Amino acid sequence: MKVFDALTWLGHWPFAFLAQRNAAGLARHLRAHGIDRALVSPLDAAFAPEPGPANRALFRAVRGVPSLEVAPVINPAVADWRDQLQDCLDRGPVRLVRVLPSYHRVVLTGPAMRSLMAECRRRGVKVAIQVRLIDERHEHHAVSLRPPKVPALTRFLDAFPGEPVLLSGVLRTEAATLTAGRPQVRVDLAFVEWLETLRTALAAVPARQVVFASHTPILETAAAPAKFARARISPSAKRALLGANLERFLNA
Amino acid sequence: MTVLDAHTHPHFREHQAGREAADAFLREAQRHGIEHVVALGDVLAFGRNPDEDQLRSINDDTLWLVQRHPRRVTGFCYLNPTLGERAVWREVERCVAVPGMRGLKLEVANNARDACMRPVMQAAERHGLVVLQHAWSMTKIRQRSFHTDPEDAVLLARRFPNVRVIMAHLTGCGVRGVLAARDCDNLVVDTSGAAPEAGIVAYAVEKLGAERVLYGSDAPIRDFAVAIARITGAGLGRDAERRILRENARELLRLP
Repeated sequence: MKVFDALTWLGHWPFAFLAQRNAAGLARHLRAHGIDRALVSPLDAAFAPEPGPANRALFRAVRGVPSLEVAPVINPAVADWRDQLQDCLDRGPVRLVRVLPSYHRVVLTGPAMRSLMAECRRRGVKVAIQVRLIDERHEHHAVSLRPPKVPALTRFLDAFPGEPVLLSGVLRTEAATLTAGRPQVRVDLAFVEWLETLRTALAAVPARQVVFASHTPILETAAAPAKFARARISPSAKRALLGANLERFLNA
Repeated sequence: MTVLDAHTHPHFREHQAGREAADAFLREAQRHGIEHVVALGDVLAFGRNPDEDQLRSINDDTLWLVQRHPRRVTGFCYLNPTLGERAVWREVERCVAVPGMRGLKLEVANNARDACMRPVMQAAERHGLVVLQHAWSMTKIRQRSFHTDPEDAVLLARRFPNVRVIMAHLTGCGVRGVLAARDCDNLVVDTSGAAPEAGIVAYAVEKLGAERVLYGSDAPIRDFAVAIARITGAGLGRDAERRILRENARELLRLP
């Protein structure tokens, strides 16, 4: 069964002792945990004034590592976001861009975000909203930010009805609320957890809307495939969650 | 490798599942190789400050489970220290009369450094009970008046050096919690709490030694498979994994 990871990162995170890997090392590490392919985004973009340099460094780093597919970070809160997006599209195939609303103070229903959504639709690029990078209770004391709340995410989703969006880093209850009645929305499993995670999640969210995500290196990679190892869900649902759903979403 | 889970809540009233759900919970634990669990009760079923009747109701569930599965469940008696010395002693004496009740569980009714903890710790010392103290870094939560920081849990353990203390939620306590715990020999940490953040288990083992880290899941809030993967995915080696997943808790709880 081929596994396609919707959420991995390369780069530095200043607030934890995380493994530092280059692109080949990340690919090997993922492979050792049974993960064949992954979307990878630049962690350095979270705190940079604009994400361009981190995106460019990532494109250079993954050259020659075919199992990693760049999902650049775009910051619509700064004026040059069209240049950021164009630069990424010039450097390689891009099927998904990632927006970090709490780290970049992006107003999800603001004019810049509306323009970004329209531009991505025009270019056939999907958008992922990174709802959280880490548990907000564990942010560094010098960092004051909160993930967007469910009502704000609801307003955003309802502002773009029918627009395919990946909500990344949501909690179990957020996943259930935000996918209800919105078949175009996908959620990843990085922060979704409960006793028998997959059975619980699939009781609340249609299987076609759920995608596998390890959130390497911020979360322990082994934990993501562990959710599947003894999961009592059908083989077809397992296949869909582990890779087919993400592939279909990116290609739609 | 068989596993002993030092931090579970088999009765969870959120889904109105009743006591029967605890049997399914144990079957799910067994599917993951977990042969024995510490049952702490549904500690927030009535909010953070339960009265005596509510406490008894929560502990009755635990007593029922311990008696039903004596070889598979160790019970901890849940206490609210703010109810006062007499209430604490009454509930401890009631619970420890049942074989298999081996510890006391403290949640968020008060901070572990508060004076009301004295009778709790005296009762633990008298009966040879382990104390599991909820702890979490309060840097962002800002509820320290009733919510215990790792340094508070360590202070509690230092004040009562003859009582063995489990500081819950390694991931919530973080690096500062590990460092606070370093020179406090009667305190161990359990690996429960939050998402499986990378690096923290290995850091705890490096600073405290594998013998002071216990596997705990916090299930059903967490998934047994994920909780075990925090340990097996941390690159610790078989001996350290065996200690954390089973031996440390077995020795601490004096299980066969």
